[in-house]
Amino acid sequence: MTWEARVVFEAPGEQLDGLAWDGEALLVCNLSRNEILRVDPSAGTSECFRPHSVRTSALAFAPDGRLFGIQGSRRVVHFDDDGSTYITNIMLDGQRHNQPRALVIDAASRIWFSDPLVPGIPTGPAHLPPLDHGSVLRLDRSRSAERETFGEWLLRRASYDTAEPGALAIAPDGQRLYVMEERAPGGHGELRSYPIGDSGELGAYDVLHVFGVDHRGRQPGIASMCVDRDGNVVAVGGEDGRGPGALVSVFTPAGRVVRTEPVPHGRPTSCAFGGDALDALFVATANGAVVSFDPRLD
Amino acid sequence: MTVTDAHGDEYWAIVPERPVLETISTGHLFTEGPVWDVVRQAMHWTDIVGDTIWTWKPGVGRSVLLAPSGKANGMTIDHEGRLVVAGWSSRTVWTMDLDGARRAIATHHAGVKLGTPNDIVVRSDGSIYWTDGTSGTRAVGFEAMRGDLQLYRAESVLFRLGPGDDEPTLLTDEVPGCNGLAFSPDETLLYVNDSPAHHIKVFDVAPDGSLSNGRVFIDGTGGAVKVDRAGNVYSTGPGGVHIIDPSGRRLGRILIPDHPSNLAWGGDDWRFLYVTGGGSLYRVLLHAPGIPVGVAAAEGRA
Repeated sequence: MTWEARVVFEAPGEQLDGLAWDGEALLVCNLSRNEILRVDPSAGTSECFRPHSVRTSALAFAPDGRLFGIQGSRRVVHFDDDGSTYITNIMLDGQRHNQPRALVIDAASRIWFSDPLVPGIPTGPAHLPPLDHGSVLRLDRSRSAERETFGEWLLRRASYDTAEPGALAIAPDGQRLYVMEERAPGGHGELRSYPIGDSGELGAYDVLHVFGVDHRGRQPGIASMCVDRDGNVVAVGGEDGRGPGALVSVFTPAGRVVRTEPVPHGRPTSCAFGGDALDALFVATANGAVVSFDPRLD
Repeated sequence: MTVTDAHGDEYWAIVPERPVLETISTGHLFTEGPVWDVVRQAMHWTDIVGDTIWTWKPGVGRSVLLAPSGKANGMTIDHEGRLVVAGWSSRTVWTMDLDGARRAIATHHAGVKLGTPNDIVVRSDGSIYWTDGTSGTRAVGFEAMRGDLQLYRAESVLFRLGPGDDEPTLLTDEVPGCNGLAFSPDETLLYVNDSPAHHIKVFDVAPDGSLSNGRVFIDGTGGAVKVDRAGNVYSTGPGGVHIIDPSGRRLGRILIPDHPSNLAWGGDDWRFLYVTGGGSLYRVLLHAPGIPVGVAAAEGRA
């Protein structure tokens, strides 16, 4: 049986991205309008949650309900409930990190984010060059009880074998970090599974899936992923006209592909579970749609 | 090196035949906000990205006046000799007394936090005018490492804070990329740069300080503007400082090796034109004196 795909929100022609379920509604990054929307999927209505969002493209809630996001100015920020926004630590060993792409927050409130090095993409003024590596980085809270700002976060490098890490997800038990490496040795993309050690260090990774290269170039990999309660990796990516097209793909923790579903309405950019029982899968597209899949029909 | 680029004979009444461009200070990250301090007999300027206000005294050298500075941007001096600062990342307008005491004098308008104050000027009645932009919350390297980064207004606007006012008055949102600003010598005109539009707009200033009749004064300019005592307009722009007569006719340029960001007159007779650009502070001695600021303006002395 296929999953039922239903468009729950439309903003025709606008680029939608980062999704996060806040318990009652879906937060949606609208890059075209430079704002974060709060969408009621059952009514198809929206309101502005955050104006002037500095091209916020990814969102994640911490276990205590605090909201974090990635903005287009090479920073991970905290969106406070009162409407204010605060920067986290942007400095790794005295140098500003690159433009983050995805973030995920574990049960210990550690923020893992991908910080790819993309050759040829300007990232800011000359005195703030990019790092000489593209890595997964991690923000740990320091012991300070003060409101989190730059100095109250510790920024650490987590991966040493990545170049262009993109989508991230973390296993329900917190023991595995899933990383979409866009530029593995050989130029292909691969979905990796890293074991997370007791102190947060990443071990040797397993390759769960390889996205190949053909005469048309590199096959689109995973744009965004999340994990279901069984521990499967639910990934969205691709685009119609290239390879197998725009898809939701479900991988077991061992990498077996157990389901694929086409995504209507364009290139998928983000996915998140939501709904009353957190069992509806929402997918945003670059063409201005939020599509809901209901795996309960399985 | 040649620093002159004359477009007409009037230029030579302003710029000497062989001007010397001196490098006063270099090695900074992004210089801005120059202002001459008559009381201290010193030039102050900001390094926005370096998060520092610097001071240079002729014959003495440079020193740090304040660091961190909240990534201060434009600066001027009021009639009591206080430094008046457009707090780019602190998102406030604040003053610093001669003894170093600091005080925020504008933080909010209509219940929301200011944007990112950019450049600032004091009128003869003591009121403070500044441009309030937006890019300081998002430009990489210019943003605050502490404090609220959320922007509450999409537009750049001009504000005025009158003597005794608790909150600024929004004067106009007609200059969407407003940056530098300067009064004409009689203060009946206010020139305002629109950096993205590459032009200067000029407004009529009413006796009560309000603005009207905004129109484009000249195209092809950059981010900062100042006026000399004869009413000629000096703007940063491509290649250096552009000199424009009050009718809008371009007289020529003073060439600057770095992309210039702002300018100010200083020295005993206000004939040294100081220019910030890139990571440096330059000066060049001109024939034409600038309009005094600070205590000198209050006393009406040159």
